[in-house]
Amino acid sequence: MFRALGRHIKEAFLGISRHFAMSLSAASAVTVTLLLMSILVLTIGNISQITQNLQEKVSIFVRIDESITDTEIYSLKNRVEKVEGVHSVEYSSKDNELDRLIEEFGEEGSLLEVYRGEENPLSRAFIVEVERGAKISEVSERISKIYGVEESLFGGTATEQFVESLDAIRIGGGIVVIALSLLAIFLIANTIKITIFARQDEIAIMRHVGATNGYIRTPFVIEGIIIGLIGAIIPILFTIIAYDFLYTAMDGKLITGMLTLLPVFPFTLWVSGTLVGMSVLVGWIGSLLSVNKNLRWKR
Amino acid sequence: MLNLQNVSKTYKNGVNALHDINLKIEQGEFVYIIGATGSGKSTLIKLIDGEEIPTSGTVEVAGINVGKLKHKKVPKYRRNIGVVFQDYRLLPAKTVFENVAFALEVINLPTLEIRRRVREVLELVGLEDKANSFPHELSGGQQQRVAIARAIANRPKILIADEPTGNLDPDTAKGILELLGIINQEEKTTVMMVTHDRNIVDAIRHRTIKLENGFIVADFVEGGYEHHV
Repeated sequence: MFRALGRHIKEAFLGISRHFAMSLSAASAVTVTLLLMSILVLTIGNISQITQNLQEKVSIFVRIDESITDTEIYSLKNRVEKVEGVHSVEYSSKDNELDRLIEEFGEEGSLLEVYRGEENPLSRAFIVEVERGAKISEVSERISKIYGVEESLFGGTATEQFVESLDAIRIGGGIVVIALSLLAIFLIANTIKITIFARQDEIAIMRHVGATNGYIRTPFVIEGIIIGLIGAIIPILFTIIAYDFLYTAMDGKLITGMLTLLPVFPFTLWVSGTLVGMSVLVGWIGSLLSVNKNLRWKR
Repeated sequence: MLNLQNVSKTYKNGVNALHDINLKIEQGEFVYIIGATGSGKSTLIKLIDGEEIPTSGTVEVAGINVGKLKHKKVPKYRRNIGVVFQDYRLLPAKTVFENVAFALEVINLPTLEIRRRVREVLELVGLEDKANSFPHELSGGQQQRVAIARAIANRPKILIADEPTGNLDPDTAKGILELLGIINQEEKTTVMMVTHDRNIVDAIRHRTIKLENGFIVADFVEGGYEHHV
């Protein structure tokens, strides 16, 4: 078993060196595919992190109409809670709102203390958290239509657009990666085909002396996998080095401190693992396609 | 050893290659198969080594019904059969030693055992001093000896030689025949030699079977060409 494996691997490397240019072009296709995939996975990994952050931090501020009495507040809260997409609702009294404002102003905030009590000009409010950051404007719109709600505000459309564009990156990138994977598979299959044709005499003799089909196929499949793995080297280095550089340069944050990036380790190791898996898969599928097509033996 | 019963083979394109063949060859026999091109000799070989399935009848080799053999079992079955071709079919990039060893590598023998067996068969065919030569450095007769060494390396029960002397001059051909005789005697291998060569069949007598248009038209245990021409 292992004895044969050694011969197969030797044979596979021989095949690669015999058609070095072909193997190299197939490996480059894998490299390009995996580079894009690396960027995509790095982005997506951080997107999910950021969207989670946003969903935790983005909330809708619902100002309650002055005409609503304190006893009606409870039923109003119930109605807001029933709106589709609402995760949780928290009531904030006038006093509460003033506290928040004072806190926001910092040291000079204490000047606002004069407004505490009957003179408080602020409105009572609900702080609403939504289930999905992308749906925030729809939810806000629905809440604003409820009787007793003066206005419904949220962090602005910028956040929403940000979340939406990240979704677009995810889908668009996914399509590009799939298309490139198919190209890489095709190029690997072609390279293997050349190797098979170059070894046709050997294969005929193997058949005559009773080599099993599995024995005949194995070196070609190994060759495909090796080509795939060669293609994965640069993307893996890129993943670790480039992400580490970016992370250090941006001090682990995106734009504001609110959005944190995923730490370099173990994240890049997971991504590298995915790339290795993908390269093996692409090489394996490519060579298998070629072997099934060009090595089929019937009687 | 080899038993064909009512074997017929019709190819998909309608060509009738063999008609109702009945043939029995015992273990350790040496048999010539003679006949003109298109008489069905090649089809006979293909049926025996499992490349083709008979349209009707049974082909039995070493107790195995070859026609009924599952696709996956054909490779293992083929280890019972050694084949030698008119055009040698050696691998040009491999040395004599490697060419013979190759046949043993693909059936997964341990390296030490391969080396021992390759030396042994190269000695048997008289090429022990050419082990490190490449096929193009050898004469036709020597190349055919290498091919024979490769075919018998895994001790097949039957050796099929498909016009092994077709490309060789008469003297060299005689040498090959002697070698096949030695293999037949020493390794107790059944030898089935397909040939056109009237001189050889007449000079070195063995059981001779003549095919014509897919029929066995003669089967002489005493051998020789002249009986049925």
